[in-house]
Amino acid sequence: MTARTLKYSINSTLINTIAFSGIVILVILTVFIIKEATPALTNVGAELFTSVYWYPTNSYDPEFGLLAMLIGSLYITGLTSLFVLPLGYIIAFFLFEYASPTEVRVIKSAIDLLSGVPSVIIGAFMLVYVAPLTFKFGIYTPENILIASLGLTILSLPYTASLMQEAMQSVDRSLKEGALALGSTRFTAGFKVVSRAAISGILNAVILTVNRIIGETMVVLMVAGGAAIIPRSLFDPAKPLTATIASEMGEVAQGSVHYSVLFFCGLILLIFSFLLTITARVIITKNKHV
Amino acid sequence: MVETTKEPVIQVKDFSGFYGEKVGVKDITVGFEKNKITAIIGPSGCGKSTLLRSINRMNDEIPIYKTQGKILFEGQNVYSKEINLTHFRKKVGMVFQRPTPFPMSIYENIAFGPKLHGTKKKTDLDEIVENSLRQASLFNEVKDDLKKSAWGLSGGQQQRLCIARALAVDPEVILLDEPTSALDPIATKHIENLVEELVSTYTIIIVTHNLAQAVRISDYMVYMFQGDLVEYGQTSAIVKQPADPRTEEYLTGKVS
Repeated sequence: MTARTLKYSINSTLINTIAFSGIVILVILTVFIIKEATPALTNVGAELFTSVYWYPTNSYDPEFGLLAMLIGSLYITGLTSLFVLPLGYIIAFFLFEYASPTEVRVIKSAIDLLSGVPSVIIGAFMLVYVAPLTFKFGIYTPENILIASLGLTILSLPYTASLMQEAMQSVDRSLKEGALALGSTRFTAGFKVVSRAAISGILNAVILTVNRIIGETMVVLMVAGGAAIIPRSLFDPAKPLTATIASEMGEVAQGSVHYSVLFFCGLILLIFSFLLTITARVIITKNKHV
Repeated sequence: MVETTKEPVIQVKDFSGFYGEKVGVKDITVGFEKNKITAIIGPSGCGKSTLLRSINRMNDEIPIYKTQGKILFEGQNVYSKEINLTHFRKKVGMVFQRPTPFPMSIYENIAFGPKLHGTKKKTDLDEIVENSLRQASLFNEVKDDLKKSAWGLSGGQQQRLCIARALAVDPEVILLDEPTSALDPIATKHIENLVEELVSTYTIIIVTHNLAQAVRISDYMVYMFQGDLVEYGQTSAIVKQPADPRTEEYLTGKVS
């Protein structure tokens, strides 16, 4: 064996081992969560999805209904997406189509800095400065879905905007020029041609964003209110799945039904994430050749 | 210089273009004749694409690009503030080095321009699409696949699609920026034949680094070197007897 083939085989073994261990860890994690969550299904069953009552620590008649939390999670994710996705696209579009190189540099660095802000800081900011404003509008609780969604918007907007901008930037410049050469405005070229060519990247950004919002914990833990009720308006508090796990996992008796139900919450989140990722993959392969 | 009696369609006057500090083209004065093919030739980096892309102001897309002088189209300076780029670019179409089909169907690709300029009726659009594809001698190859994605066509077909797309808005001038450099010889032949047919209706300016191609198809020739216009004249005359030693060096292959 020559030195070169030796080096090659060492390199490839090393890379394979590292790549493989990543997969192994993922599999172990999934198996672990499923194992811990299964007792919830056998002990509580369908009530997990049908009951809105969450009294896990009631020693006489504990209730483990996840419906309120599930709806809370979806409500907050939906509302945040409604804010973030259009805004992110508008920012990306502006950066791609209208901003001068200097503007792009300044805005991009601002975005990068903002995306580095820890979520706990954004949570604290919302809690201390923004949430109290709700009293002025006669809203009965300062911690509610709207405030949580705004916090999540601040948190994920930089991420969404830069993903979408990269998607548009990766489209060959000649395509935009082709549209301009026919007399189209920058807006039409960007909206009808470039965005269409970048559609798989943009949809991928959408899915990654939604995935991130649904899994975000700190902001919702701090400002969503933490009440396990089915929200009836934007100004009602909610208790998303992530916040439930974070706030209760530390105090729960290991091996109890409550413990297992919390893992079941985790499993639900994992399944969402999995489905979103699969959707992203399907969209990308479908749109490879529009 | 060849004296011509007719007013040229596009008149470039003392035109210079700069990329920041760097000179792209300098002090160019040249006229492009109606219903003729003018080839702009020269070694890489001589400014031939810069000149072409300055005519329809495509170089505006490069933020650091600055210009001096005038380019007149129908007597109006295309760099004046009053010009309406949308209307102007409708009259001066462009086809690029690499085919740039839009991510939509073949039909939508052709209809894109006319729709932009206000053609709404389906029957009108159908007619424009068919005529443009026929003019670009592509219709027979794609007539059953108009609803299919244009990205599925071959390179040569895509380039003819781009020519058809440019024709669909009824231009007067067509700028071709090395339109065959990404194509195989047969597809190239196809495009060359097409260009020779189109010149009866349109004025054509083509940038090419393929000297043989320029000699084959062009009526007039512009030779550029390091941003300067070295020589302009009838292709047959220049090829026979170049006036400038720099042109001769290029024609004989000493510079490329």
